[in-house]
Amino acid sequence: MVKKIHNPVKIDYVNCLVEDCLQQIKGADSMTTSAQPHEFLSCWVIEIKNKALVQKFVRFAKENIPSNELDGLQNVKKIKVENGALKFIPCSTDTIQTKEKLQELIAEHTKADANDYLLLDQLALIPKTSPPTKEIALEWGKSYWPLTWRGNPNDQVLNDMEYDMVKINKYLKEISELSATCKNTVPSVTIFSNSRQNKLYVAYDERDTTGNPLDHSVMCGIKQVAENLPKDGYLCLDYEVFTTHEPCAMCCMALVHSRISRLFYIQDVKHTGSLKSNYHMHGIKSLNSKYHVFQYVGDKYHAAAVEQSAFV
Amino acid sequence: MKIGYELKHMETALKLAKYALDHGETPVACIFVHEPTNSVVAFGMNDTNKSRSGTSHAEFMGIAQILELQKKDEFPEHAIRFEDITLYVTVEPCIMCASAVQQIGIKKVIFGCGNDRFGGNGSVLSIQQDSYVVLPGILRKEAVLMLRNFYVMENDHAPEPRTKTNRKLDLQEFPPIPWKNYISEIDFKDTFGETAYREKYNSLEDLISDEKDIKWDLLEGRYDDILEILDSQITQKFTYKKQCIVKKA
Repeated sequence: MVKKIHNPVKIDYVNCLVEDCLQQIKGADSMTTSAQPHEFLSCWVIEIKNKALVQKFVRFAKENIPSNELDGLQNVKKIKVENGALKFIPCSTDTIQTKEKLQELIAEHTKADANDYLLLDQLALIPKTSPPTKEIALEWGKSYWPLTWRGNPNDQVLNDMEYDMVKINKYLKEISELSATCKNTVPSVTIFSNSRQNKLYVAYDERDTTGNPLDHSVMCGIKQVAENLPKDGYLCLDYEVFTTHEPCAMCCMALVHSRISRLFYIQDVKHTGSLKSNYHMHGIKSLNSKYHVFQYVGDKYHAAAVEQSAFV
Repeated sequence: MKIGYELKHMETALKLAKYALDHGETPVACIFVHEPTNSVVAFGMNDTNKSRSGTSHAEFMGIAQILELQKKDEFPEHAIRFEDITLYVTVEPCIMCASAVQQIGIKKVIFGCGNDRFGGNGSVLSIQQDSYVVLPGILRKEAVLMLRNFYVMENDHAPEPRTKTNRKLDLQEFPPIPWKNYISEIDFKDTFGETAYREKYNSLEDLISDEKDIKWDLLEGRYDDILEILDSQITQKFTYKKQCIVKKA
């Protein structure tokens, strides 16, 4: 993990563009980083009257409340000042469910009494999702509860990823060339690569030869990986996928089931493609797995033309 | 209620699911029914454990069988067509399978319980949109219990199994079924009738409310010969079909 400014990879964080040629495609879950938070955590609010006890309360929340859900929301400030009153959120109402139980814990661990604090009846709604921009973070702070702006979380995602441009270019070039010379009705070509295990599979669309209209290049690649899976292997874990055309819903979901880590593709398929053109299936919240997607937007590699209504 | 053969076919699918459960697989199964002759032409069971591929779902197994039947049909002009087939599956197809069903051209899907995490016919996405009809909730309680059976069994393999009394199979509690995610009001009324609509649709209730009406034999029985039975039914169907065609000619 390098700091953003030390990253040797050229990343345009505003436009989500890597090395001028890899466009990040957002999943369905991040499409909704709207100006409104869409999930909340309801939390208890303590008004601390004895200001000397602030540190004690902070430590209490940190050390004496087991599995505190608030710890997961690092951009939420614990304390705010409102009309001169100091307000502190110790934990959610899911973590400690009753006022009595919380009061009991406070008494036990802080020794504070009714003169020192007041446990309010009104709860605070804390946004569970991250705001997309600094301005919106400030707005949410006013409407709900103050947040620290630590930058767009997607910047960190882009920054933390590895980009082996030599390898990426090599595979994109390969699928592009194979697609150009391929005589299949659907000339899509897909590479499955696992650098850790030094495995590489090239798959074509097989529907012409097998007569099965579901034998798309992605499905055939997954089959190849499964057939050659080592004893300790698990599905397509640690695999990266390079494919000429934006895959259909079936293939995108098959890749979710297969736990791939990242996919690169060249050409959009407007009607049936399910990453950028429809559904954004690589990042649907309720699915148990996600993968990152980049589209090659440079001018060096191309994919053979397909009908836009075809399922690829 | 215009439901007749649907129950019988879903029972067959559930017997297959029970077979899968008894043989170390996730209890999800399906059968493919040829509507014009109301007969089973293919079936499938989940095979993800054995094949070690996350995509070996029941639907794919059945589709492959039908393609095989089409390929070796001596009378290609009379070969079965996907548009004449109804898919019965114990659990709502996942997004991948829902898309496969659309692409292969099946026009009707009937399922037992929804698939909250992966469902492609209304739970997570609605892939079917204008391409095929969906009918949910047929023998839903049985399908739910079948899956619960599986999860209870799985826990037995956990390193430190808790005592059985702690995780007794819950037989009475069923989650609400959000009908409108899967089927429109009009289609629901049309299929299950006005009374069922008033009582079930908006209150998110199952078609069957009395526990006594659950088909317990599907959950408790052994169906080790189900594959042979289905295979012989399919063979018979095609022998008969051939005879008919030859006679006509």
